[in-house]
Amino acid sequence: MKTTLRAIGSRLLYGIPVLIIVTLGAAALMGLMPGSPGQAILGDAATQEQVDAINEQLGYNQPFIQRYLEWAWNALHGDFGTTLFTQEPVTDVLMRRLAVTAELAGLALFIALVVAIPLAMLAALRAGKLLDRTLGLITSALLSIPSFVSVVIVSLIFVVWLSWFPATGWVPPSEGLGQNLYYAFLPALALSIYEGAFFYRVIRSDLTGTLREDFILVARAKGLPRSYILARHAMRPSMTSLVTVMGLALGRLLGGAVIVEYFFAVPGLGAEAVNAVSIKDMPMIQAIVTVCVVAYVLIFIVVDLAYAWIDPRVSVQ
Amino acid sequence: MTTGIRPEADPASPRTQGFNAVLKPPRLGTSLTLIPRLRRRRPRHVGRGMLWFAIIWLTVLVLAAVFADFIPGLPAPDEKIGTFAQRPDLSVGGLLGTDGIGRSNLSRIIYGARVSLTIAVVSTIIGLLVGVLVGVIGGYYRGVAESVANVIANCLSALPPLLLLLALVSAIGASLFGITIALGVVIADLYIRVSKGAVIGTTSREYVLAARALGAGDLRIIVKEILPNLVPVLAAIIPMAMAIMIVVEGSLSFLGYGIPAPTPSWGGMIAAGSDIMRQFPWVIAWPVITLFLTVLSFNAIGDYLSSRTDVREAKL
Repeated sequence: MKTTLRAIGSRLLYGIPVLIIVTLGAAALMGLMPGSPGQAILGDAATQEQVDAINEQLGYNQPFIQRYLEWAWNALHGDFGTTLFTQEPVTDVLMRRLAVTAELAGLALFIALVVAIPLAMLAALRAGKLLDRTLGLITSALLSIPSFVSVVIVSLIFVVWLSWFPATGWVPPSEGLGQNLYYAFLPALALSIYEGAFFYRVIRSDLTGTLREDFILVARAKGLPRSYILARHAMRPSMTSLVTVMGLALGRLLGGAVIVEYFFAVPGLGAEAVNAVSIKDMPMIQAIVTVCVVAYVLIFIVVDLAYAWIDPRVSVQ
Repeated sequence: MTTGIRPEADPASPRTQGFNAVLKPPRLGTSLTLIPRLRRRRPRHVGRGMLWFAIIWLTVLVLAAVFADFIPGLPAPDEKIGTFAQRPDLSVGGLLGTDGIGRSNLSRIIYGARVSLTIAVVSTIIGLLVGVLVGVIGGYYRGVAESVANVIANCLSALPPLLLLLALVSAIGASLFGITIALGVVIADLYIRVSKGAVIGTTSREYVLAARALGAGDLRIIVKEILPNLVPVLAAIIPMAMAIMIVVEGSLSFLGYGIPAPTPSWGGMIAAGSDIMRQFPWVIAWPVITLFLTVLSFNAIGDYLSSRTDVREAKL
């Protein structure tokens, strides 16, 4: 237990330089962008004096390093400032957006796993046979579909041709879970296509490896049914790569669902990030960046711990 | 900070890199062929047919993109050759029909290939230069240099690539130049990780020790003994990285942050086509098919190369 805690601590410490560099880099990049926040608020018609006045009022005339230190100090106290246009607290907006994205990510992972695991088991049992080869072909095709193509295809099939689901929009779960799932399904499906194909590949390749090991042979020799061996003996040691890949996928889904959220008009974190970059909403960008880095570090702590739990030979140090 | 396996703790294993977990852990145990149904087979990642298809498709695409100006009868990409969303006809420009404002789909796909392929190649070179430099230094000298390389790689991959890319592109400018540089930076973390892992594995080999014993300097060892070992490893991931570059460039254009408007790009064509797909689904089909086949081809070549160079699988 103590070593586990120390392992968590050292990984958290390791995340600190990453967090500092990334937020500092984000601040520097924003400084490099043409135009100032004042210009972005007032538009092209404003005179230079008006722009300068707004910049001064919001503190954007300060040197960049001083602004960054002020931001870091406030952020350490849980205050991420207010958004540029609406002057809402960034934390409120962020939480609202994060909840939506987290729901989508969870649904997408769920769909991907539910489809990928049984298919991978079937294929691993018949490695090299027709089913395995067909699924291999299908997944390599699915992995070659970029997300901005899969949203178009999903929408073409389910919205335009079948008219089963609404084209765009979002209903929060507070206004009825059924409606919420009705609107969330297509974005989640579009997200899960790539992840599902990826999971399938990883599980299949690990399972075929595990099935060659001696303890599987022993289990077969004992006369255990194949399905029992698969579920009780082979699955757990075949999960190490899957856990890593799921961690990566979760990170990607939390921050990277930009295209899907944009296309289906889902008010999530990715859509907000694109918006914040385009209007130079510095407090919002910094907050999103911080969330992404923290999520990245946390996900990999969980992944490392899961490794040790799955495979007792692996020690967390 | 390390996650190692107790029974055979191998300090040189790229698996011991903290939360830069490597996807494929080593397999322990022997491989017996005693279970008929579970018998091992030669892995067939890419069939010959797929590989040849990939090579032919990419060759045709590259030739068309390079010699686009000399294809007889091909209209300019921004020239209106007819009414909007025409069905395919037998003229060269109308072979794939027209897009939402009457421009030739074929011509826009070919000129779009120019943009996509240029960006993919140049950004890969930039990413390679940055990534291999950082990765080799980090993997060869270990210690502080390795920590620095890890921090750089983690900084690049902690952010969602598209967000990082959007920020970089809006800072540098949404030109061919800006997008290429930004893409090169975004993909560099992959090359850092892969080259660092490979270098760590190579540095403890006997022939490197022998070279050092003969009095070779660090630079000579890196250039003569270590870099050649990186070639097969990198060759396997470069095609896949190029596929990623093409996809990400398409995503940028799809969001409207890519190459500015009159220049055709596949992502832009798909975005424009999705607006009218309800009435004219075939307009969007052409760029989608082209993009899909291109990405599939790069992935197939990458799969083939990695199945040829992956020692772990070659042993099976």
